[in-house]
Amino acid sequence: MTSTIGYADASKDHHITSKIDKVVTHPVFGLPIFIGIFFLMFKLSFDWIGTPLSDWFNVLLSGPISETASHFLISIGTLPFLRSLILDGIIAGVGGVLTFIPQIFVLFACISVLEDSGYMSRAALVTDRLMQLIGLNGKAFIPLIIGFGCNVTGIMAARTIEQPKERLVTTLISPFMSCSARLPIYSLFVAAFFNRHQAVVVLSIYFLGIVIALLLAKMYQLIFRIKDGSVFIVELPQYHVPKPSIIMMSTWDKGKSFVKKAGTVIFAGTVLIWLLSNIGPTGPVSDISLSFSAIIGRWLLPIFTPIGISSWQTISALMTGVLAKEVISSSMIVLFHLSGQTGLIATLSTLFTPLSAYCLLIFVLIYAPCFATLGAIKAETGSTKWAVYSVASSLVIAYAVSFLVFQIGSLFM
Amino acid sequence: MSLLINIVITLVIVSIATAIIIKTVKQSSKDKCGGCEYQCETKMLLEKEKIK
Repeated sequence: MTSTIGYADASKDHHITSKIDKVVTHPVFGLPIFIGIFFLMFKLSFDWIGTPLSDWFNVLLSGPISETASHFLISIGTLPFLRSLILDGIIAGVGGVLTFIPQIFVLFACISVLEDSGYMSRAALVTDRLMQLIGLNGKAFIPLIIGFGCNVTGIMAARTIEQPKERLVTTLISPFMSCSARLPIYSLFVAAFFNRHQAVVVLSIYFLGIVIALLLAKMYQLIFRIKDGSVFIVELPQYHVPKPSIIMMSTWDKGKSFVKKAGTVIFAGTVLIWLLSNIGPTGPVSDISLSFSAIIGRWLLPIFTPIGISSWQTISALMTGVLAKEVISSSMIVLFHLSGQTGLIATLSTLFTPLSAYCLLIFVLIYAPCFATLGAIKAETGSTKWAVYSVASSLVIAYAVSFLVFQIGSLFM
Repeated sequence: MSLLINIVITLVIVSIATAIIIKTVKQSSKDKCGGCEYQCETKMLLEKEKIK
């Protein structure tokens, strides 16, 4: 037995809490309820609230904001290359990622509600049974669920696991948790290819990440011969109605890194990809197909074709994802020379099928962690080899899973 | 606007972007969140509980 249940306070509300717990922590119904809550969360984020707000943002960005900036830049006499850098690069790229803020904030608000209501502790307890099957326990679930926000913080939270081998396994599987940085690219592709089933598709990607992480954890358990597990003790707070002020503060705390990233790393990545798509071996180029990004992308194209990726722009964009996953979306907007999300969706529908789009999402979910995550793996394991191993293993797994899904799917579609 | 000013603005933008990329890569090797520079919730919690 590796888990212990304890209630934080025994008062009159305790009776109601224990009644709810009988249902949500039920050995059989607990997990389906957990999945159902997550489905509802994605439904709110993508179908009901997030996407309509995002569409409104997008109209604002590609219309009035871009047009006003364009008129201003022309009026002050900027040259075409600077106008292109600001309009096609910074505004389209960074702005294109910012249009996904509604989905991300709605998702964070949902997670905050679950945390503040007291459900998250129950979720750890429910998953403890599942985790025990693969040699970990509910204690490993906490870093993994934190990893849904950011893999770096998830890896840092793995410090709470006392058993060194368990801690290492949790650190290695954390990057497979779908962090919020991947949401812009999910949002983009589900809007383009799975408009009626956005929540289901995103949920399936999240759960695929969990399944891969659990399978790997089982494999590591056998390799590392983990026998003595840590004791999982969880304090269950009483359920209560979340306070709006706390939800707002918690949502902002979680989401501000995304806003801040737009002004730093997404901006930098967008400028970098704009430069790579406007400079070639002979110097500045007017034809993007002669640029460095086109040369690199075309060179790697034969490797990516078997997993359904047939455009060099997508490959070049994926490479910038190592800087930060959000940069993939902004890079695509820059590389396809579009003014925003709407144009990109139209272009993508000519380059991908729903199957190849889904394979790309799988690849984005699994492939190489970002620099920050690699740094965290190195720092927490105290070894560069684990960071290198993480890159190599995730690339191999990403390719293998995408390849299998695309090739098998192609037989039926 | 003169060609020189156009080039200067472009260089400033590119320099800022380059500095951010270098900083992000450097931060990654110092156990800091690469994207966010503030003290995140998890880090504060870990420091509070002194889990090393």
